[in-house]
Amino acid sequence: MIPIPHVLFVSVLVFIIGMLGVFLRRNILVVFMGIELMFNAANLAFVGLGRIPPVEAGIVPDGFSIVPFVMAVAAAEAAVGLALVVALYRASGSVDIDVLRSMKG
Amino acid sequence: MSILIFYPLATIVIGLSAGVILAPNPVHSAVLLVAAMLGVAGLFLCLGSEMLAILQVLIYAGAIMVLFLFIVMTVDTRREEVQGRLAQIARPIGLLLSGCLGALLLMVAVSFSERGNDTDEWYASAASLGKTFLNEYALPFEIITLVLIAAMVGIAIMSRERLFDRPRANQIKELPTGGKASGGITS
Repeated sequence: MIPIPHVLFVSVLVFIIGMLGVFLRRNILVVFMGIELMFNAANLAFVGLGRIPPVEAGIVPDGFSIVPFVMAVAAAEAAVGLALVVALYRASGSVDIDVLRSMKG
Repeated sequence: MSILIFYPLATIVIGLSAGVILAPNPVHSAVLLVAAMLGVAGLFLCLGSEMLAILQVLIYAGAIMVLFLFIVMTVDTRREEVQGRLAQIARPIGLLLSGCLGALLLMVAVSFSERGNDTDEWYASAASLGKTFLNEYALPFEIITLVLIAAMVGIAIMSRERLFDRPRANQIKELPTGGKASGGITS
């Protein structure tokens, strides 16, 4: 029913919006939210491409069964990343990525 | 039926995603992101997988975004974003890179011609997904549990030993001399 290019189109738009957030925002928390948006766009593309026929009945396409793995990795990434953000905030008192430059050589 | 829901929902998801990036207050961004995640769950439902929609609501909108909101409200983010020299440089480069990659991805998306007859059947129901995970994806399924446990242990160590918490000059004076530092590890 829903054509695959339309699903991919939505996925690309969400991915680009997430990437713009990563590039243009200075707040590290919003940068993380952009990364989460990109994860969602990738999941959407996986699901859209998993619908390419032929699909045998009762067998889950790989595009669908990869999505829970992506979600699990995203959960681990978000937890570790937010712990790092809190540690950086305690050390420097800021979440601005222009201020957090102490690793610059 | 699902085609009637897909296009309005996709528009809403794109609008909410743009709101996440454009909202000046990070708390607003987080709340908009929760709504966008719920919209993506609706898109999964339209695309024929109720299990992925449930997982999306539980894991993303439930677990990850609650963590996000918790941290956003813990960390003081109310001050305005200063657009310094670095931001001035990053803005055109970021726009250029996003535009290039966006054009490339759109070309890929358009090149997928409409193939075959798409039906409204359920592609990944809970039962079939569970069978897949316990048969052909058994090993990756176990490995992902290791990844999650490694993340949990890493966070516990990182927040326990205070790796980044260097005492500042004014805090050192306040500590009693010879006394045990508060919050230290007792072992």
